[in-house]
Amino acid sequence: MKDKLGICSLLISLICAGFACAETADTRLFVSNEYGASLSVIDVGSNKSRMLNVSARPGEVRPRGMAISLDGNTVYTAISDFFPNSEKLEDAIVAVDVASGEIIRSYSAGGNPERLAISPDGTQIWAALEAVAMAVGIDAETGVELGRFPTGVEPEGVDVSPDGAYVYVTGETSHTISVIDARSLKLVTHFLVGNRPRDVAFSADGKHAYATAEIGGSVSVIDVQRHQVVETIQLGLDSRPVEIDISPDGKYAFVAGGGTNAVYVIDTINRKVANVIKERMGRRPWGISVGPNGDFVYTANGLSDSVSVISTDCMCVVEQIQAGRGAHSIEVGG
Amino acid sequence: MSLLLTRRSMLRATASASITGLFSTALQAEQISLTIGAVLPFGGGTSKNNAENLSDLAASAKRGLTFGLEDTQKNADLFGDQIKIHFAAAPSSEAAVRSAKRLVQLNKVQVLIGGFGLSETEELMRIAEENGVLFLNIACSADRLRQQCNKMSFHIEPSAAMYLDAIAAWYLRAGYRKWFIISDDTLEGTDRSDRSLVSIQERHWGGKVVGQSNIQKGQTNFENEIHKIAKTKPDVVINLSDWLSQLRFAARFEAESSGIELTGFPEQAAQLRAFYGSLGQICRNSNAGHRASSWECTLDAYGARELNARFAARWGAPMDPISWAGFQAIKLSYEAAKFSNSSTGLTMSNYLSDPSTVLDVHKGIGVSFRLWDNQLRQSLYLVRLSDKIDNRQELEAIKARAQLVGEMPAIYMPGTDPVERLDQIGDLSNLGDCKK
Repeated sequence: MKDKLGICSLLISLICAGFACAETADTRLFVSNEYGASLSVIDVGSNKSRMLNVSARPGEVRPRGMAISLDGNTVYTAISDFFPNSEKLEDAIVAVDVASGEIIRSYSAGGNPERLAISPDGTQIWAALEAVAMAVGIDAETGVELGRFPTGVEPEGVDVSPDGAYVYVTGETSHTISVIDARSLKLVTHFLVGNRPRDVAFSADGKHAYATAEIGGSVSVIDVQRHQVVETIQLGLDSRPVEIDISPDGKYAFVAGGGTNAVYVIDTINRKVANVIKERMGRRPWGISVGPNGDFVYTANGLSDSVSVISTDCMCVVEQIQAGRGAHSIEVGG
Repeated sequence: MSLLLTRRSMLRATASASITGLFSTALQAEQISLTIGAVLPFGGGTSKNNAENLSDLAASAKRGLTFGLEDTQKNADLFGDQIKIHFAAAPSSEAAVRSAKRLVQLNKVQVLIGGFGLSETEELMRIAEENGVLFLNIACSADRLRQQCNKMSFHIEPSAAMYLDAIAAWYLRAGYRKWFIISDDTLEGTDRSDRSLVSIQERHWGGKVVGQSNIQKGQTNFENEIHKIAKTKPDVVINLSDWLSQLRFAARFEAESSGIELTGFPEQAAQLRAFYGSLGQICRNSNAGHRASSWECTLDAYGARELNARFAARWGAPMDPISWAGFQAIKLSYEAAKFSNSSTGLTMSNYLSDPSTVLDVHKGIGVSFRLWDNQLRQSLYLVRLSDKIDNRQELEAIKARAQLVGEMPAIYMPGTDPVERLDQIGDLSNLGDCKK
């Protein structure tokens, strides 16, 4: 039996050795390396990677959340330091030009920005300011601050709805999601979700959003029209879900299991856990992103400084790629 | 140049934005109005040489409660909810009872917080039960409290059994097998001594108690104890008496330079950084280096980094374990009210004792109150005292008095049930008789 499993695994590996086969050739992965003060840029087609430094002070300057510009040429990265009680120049969002590797712009954010999202039209950057319980919106072109909005304590996850209407921000310590109207730039409401919500993601059709609860071990399904939790999917008390991403067809939600070294695959139609991927998973998968056509899912693994590549055909890990020190978030760009 | 963020500035900014932005939300939601009373041991035993002097402990608890109120009110502001707290100084058990009754009858508190002594805590539990208010014990570890069937009382402070099991596990795994137990002649002293025998000899393989000594509370001469220890040659001595007796004995033990490891019972006053400072300066040559604690201000994982940093920024002081307990008491009170949509004592009690309730206390794992004794399941920490403790009062110097070296139970144990994992320390249901 073991031999058969081994052969199957080998075949899958061979088929997907250049896993770009099913992925577009020009797909690039961007990984923020929390302890390396750098971004890894991984070319999926050639399986080659390079490192872009966001600071010459690794261990002091901390890149975490990222968002990619619509043309894929700019990576917006939230950077801060490791001292959440002080506000420094490092608390900013930097725009890194992928071609040159240079920081081409810095947006002052303050308050330890943690995660980022960009509006579907690419004009607005939204960040959770962890230290000051605020979310900030910034005009990507002018750099003008659009507004600051109160959130729950220690805000973390941010996403913008596909129609650009709403920004959702999770409040880690207060178990909340704060809703901001991205057009009128007004606060809409706050509502309770599971214990310690780390991240939130909208479905492609914008009807639902999904919020992970790290301590609650669950994913809240949210009706976006009503801004209300309509169902809670239990992953298990010890599942520790952190970042979440949704497949392009909306059928699956992929959840990074952080300290459990697992990825949870949720069937969003039946609202049940369909798979738990553990075999060959890197250590402490924190960031997670689904590729553009949904064939592959990528995790940023903080303790193994790597990216795990999951094939959605077999729902198994088919590749490991080296990243930098303390891989935190991962985004897929064109 | 760095700009220090204060909680006040954040609160001001949030409050103004909340009021304008969330008016409609506040109108729609059921609003919570929660009034909390905290009974703290200010003013007891003014002499430094009095174990009843818990002023440092009270001050640290008040910092935690105040920080908890500010932080939690910030959450409450999001929903238009209101939390109030009344502090009462109670230098004695009798004063604590009077204060608690006043808080319940005059201030109409729905939650009482306190628990700085066995008799005081028993009385507060009784008052809570009789008046239908929630009581959160943040400082008294006595096991006999956990065996009472009080529906309204919940213990955030770990039980003595939890502390003793954790200490025994750490030392026994490190090869310290022969134990000498010192306990005092109080009811708690006897209970701790009896339970430590279970921890060392029954719950862990290879442990043996080679000697015991019962001292009087307030005793200052330890010649007999030192003689017995020298005779029995233990690997480790554990002193289960109060914080002041632990310091007095440590000073005498230091003079022997025996090389035998010394530890003590971590009652909350013996978990303060101030206590570590005193102990570290006394034990220059002996091995009084390892202590158990319910929280550690150098904990840097699970969101603890942010909590510790925010607390330190607010007060310029580290988050002592009692500060952590005070913070969590406010947070859990509000969450119990918010999630059950009611601030009556019974509803909050039902929420906290519901087996499906999962709580986040910044320890990296979902925790809950045990059904049989209303004890908060949680991991504990092992700290090693620095061998270069001095009198410096800067924040970093105070934090550096001890360093985190262990966690019990370890929260990352794949393949095991998290509730069972946490229940590895402390008494199990067959030892309690509190049926829901």
